[in-house]
Amino acid sequence: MKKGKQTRNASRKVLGDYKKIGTSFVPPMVHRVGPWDFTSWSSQTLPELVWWDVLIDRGSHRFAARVAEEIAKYFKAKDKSKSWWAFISDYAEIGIDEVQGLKEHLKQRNLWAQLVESLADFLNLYPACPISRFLDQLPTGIVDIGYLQHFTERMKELEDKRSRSGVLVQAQAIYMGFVLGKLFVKKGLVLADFPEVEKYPATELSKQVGASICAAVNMVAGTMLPKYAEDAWVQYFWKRSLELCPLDFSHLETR
Amino acid sequence: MTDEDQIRELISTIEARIRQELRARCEEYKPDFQAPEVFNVVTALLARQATLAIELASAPQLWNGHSAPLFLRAMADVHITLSWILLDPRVRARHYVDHGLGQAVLALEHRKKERDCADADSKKKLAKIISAEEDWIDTQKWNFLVDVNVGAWSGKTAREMSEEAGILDFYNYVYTPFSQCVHSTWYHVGRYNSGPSESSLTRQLWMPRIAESVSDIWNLHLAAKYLDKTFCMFDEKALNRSPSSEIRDWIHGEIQNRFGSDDRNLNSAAATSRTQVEPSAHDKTR
Repeated sequence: MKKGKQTRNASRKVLGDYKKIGTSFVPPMVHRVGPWDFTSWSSQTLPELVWWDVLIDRGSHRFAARVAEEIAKYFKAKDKSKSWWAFISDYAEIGIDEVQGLKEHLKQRNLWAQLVESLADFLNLYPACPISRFLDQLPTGIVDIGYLQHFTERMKELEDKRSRSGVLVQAQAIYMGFVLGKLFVKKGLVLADFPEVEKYPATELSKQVGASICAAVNMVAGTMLPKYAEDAWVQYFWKRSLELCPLDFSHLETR
Repeated sequence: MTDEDQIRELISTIEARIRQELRARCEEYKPDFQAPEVFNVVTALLARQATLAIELASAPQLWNGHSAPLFLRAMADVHITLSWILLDPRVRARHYVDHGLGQAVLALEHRKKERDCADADSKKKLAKIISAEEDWIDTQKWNFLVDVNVGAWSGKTAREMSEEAGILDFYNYVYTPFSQCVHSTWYHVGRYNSGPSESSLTRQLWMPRIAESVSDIWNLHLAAKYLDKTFCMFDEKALNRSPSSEIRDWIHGEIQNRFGSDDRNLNSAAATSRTQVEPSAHDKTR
């Protein structure tokens, strides 16, 4: 390192670019761009999108993409709300007519049976999930221990929003935005190369597309979802997850 | 069994009892997912209080005026902090975490500056430390979005927090006196580490010293007392039930059973040479 740069670094003040307000030092990203509203991927957005991973895991990427496309096509004609129908909470308040209409639409496209089968174990873990409203019969609530373990492992991977699984789940939401005609991307922007996400993270372009998808979903979640504490599905998800996987404090008694 | 073996066995039993009590409370405390940080902070502080008690109990050579106050004052701090947080847990637990993250960011920035000026070898080591620190912060909040508050985390002094929590006496009679040792004030060092020289010709000068301070079982009782205070306060405020921690009395019973009324083995010269400011064992009101 050149001596000049070393000297400059040595004289650089710690928190020098932070803004002092009272006893607090506010980081540049906050005092120049903020204020920020925080949306947590792992606490909120992930539980809202997790059903797509269930479809991918139990079916395939292609199947999940087809389901996303057909749901978006169904609502494109009918729905004037801002919803993209990617989040589980989107299905909490829709009327019986819409539920039946969507079911019929998916049946006609030969997607319904596989959709129900793919989601069965997941909905048995979380029987009060809004998606259960689409089933002809309510979930039994009988927990398959093997599936619970598997689901727990999937969640572990999904916690990293930049893992391949995490990015592909988020890609479902962006795809729906495109199909619904609610998302437009200017030519030349990375998100315009959306299909490249299939190769994530093997190519440089797919990594850029993946990053754009993560940023876009963060924005969408922040504007469309209720605040974390008021998100009924997410609150249920975590409470039920605790029932399924109670905390083990035995380590407190072991040195 | 030698005296030393007996003491070791007692310490082991004390640790097991404390861990058991901690576990029972954590199991009984139900998280609220609307504010999970409340559960995280409260249980962490309970565990911290138990840790401090166990650590002091495990080291009889530290049961003296030089060292025990370092632990006891930390325990007083934890008790005041937890008492105050539980008055408005959702808001205050969040502040507590945010402040801690800010402290981590500050430490990180200092490390980065150190790295910038370091030689090649040290740079590599520092890079690893920095990466680990960043990861710890980023799993909770992106470090570049964290405010760094160099003031008190609560915006209040310990005294103000104690007053608000209704434990001002505890602050006055426990926190403040033990603070003298923690901060090595003249109040402490003037007694434990210094004293007038013996000769009248040099009386104006005080000689440095390391005062003899024997292990005093009283310090173990104090640790147990403050642990009981915290556990009982938690029982009432967080579990909404009557307080049930009696570790101090239990330890007293264990000592009686194992050693009878003979305090030789536990260096309990407290009656004649006790220099702590805490009231006597008969006072159980604080």
